[in-house]
Amino acid sequence: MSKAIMTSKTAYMHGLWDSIPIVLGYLPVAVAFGVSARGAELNASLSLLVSILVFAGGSQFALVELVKGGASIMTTVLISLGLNLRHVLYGPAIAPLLKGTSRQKIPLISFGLTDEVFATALVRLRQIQPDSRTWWLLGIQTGAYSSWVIGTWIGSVGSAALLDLSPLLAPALNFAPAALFFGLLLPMLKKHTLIPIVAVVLTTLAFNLAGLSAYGIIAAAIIGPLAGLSGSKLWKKS
Amino acid sequence: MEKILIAVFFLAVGTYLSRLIPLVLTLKRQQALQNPRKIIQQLLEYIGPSLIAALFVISITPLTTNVSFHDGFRVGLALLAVLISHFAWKNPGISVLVGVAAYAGVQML
Repeated sequence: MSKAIMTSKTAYMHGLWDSIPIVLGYLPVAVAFGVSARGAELNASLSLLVSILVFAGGSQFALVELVKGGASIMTTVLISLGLNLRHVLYGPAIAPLLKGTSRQKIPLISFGLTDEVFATALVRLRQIQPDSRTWWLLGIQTGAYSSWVIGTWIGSVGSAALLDLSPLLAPALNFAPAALFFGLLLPMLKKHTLIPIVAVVLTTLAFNLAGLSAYGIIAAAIIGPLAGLSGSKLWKKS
Repeated sequence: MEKILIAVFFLAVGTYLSRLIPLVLTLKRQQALQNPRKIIQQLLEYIGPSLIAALFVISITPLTTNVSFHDGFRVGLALLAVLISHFAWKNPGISVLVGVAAYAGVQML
């Protein structure tokens, strides 16, 4: 898309069109979330409510895992929120591209600032004329959000039918959270994150073996960053 | 049920504020948050991978409870499928689908 003059409607439709790759990624994960939430005994309405209100994949899966594991509310909220800490960096990174955005639209734009929307916007916004950027962003967020909510609905409402479809499907879908977290972890595997990740894996395994998996994540949130800071000093020295 | 609703409410508000506040503050003072203190930036940089690695370990543990060769093989092969699809498509949705399909496929063998 060039910096051609666009009306707000055209910019919104361009954003909606640009959301297709995100939609393709979100739909299966949202369906998996819906099924996974039902597996944790969250009814269809509650599963849908989580996706409507939270709109953050990793945190939602964490919520389900922690609820299933019997963690306390405080632990569940803190751990799930901890996963979203990286979001505080998205606003400052994207703000220079949104100069002049009307105050009324900022709360709306902020709601849909997920990993995938942020990454796409950071690249694409530069190619769009400044006064159309807000509408384009709202368009891409509409596509992403709709697919997330619809996918969750399909997964949660259809889960009984899906699970009855084959006795293989239920245990296979148990692998979905592991696949998601592994898939999210892979792009984070870099030289400087290797030490904290190894430290966290060993710590969490130790807590798991002791039957204290919920506390393992808290330990990981402390040990990981500390190991990372120590590791960065080691890399500098070597 | 009530406990879950409370958790969902706080998670929704917290997630929203973590997206809204930094954007509002930065738009108000464009320079203020563009260069956060290095130590905070590093801690934030490490906390994401650390938590995801921990959740990965926790989510995979019930799948290998029996520590049998078959369980380990099935999980290993499914993870390999996720790894390959990640490099091929860089799309988490496709990676999840491929991983689940591989996991189901090995189960049938």
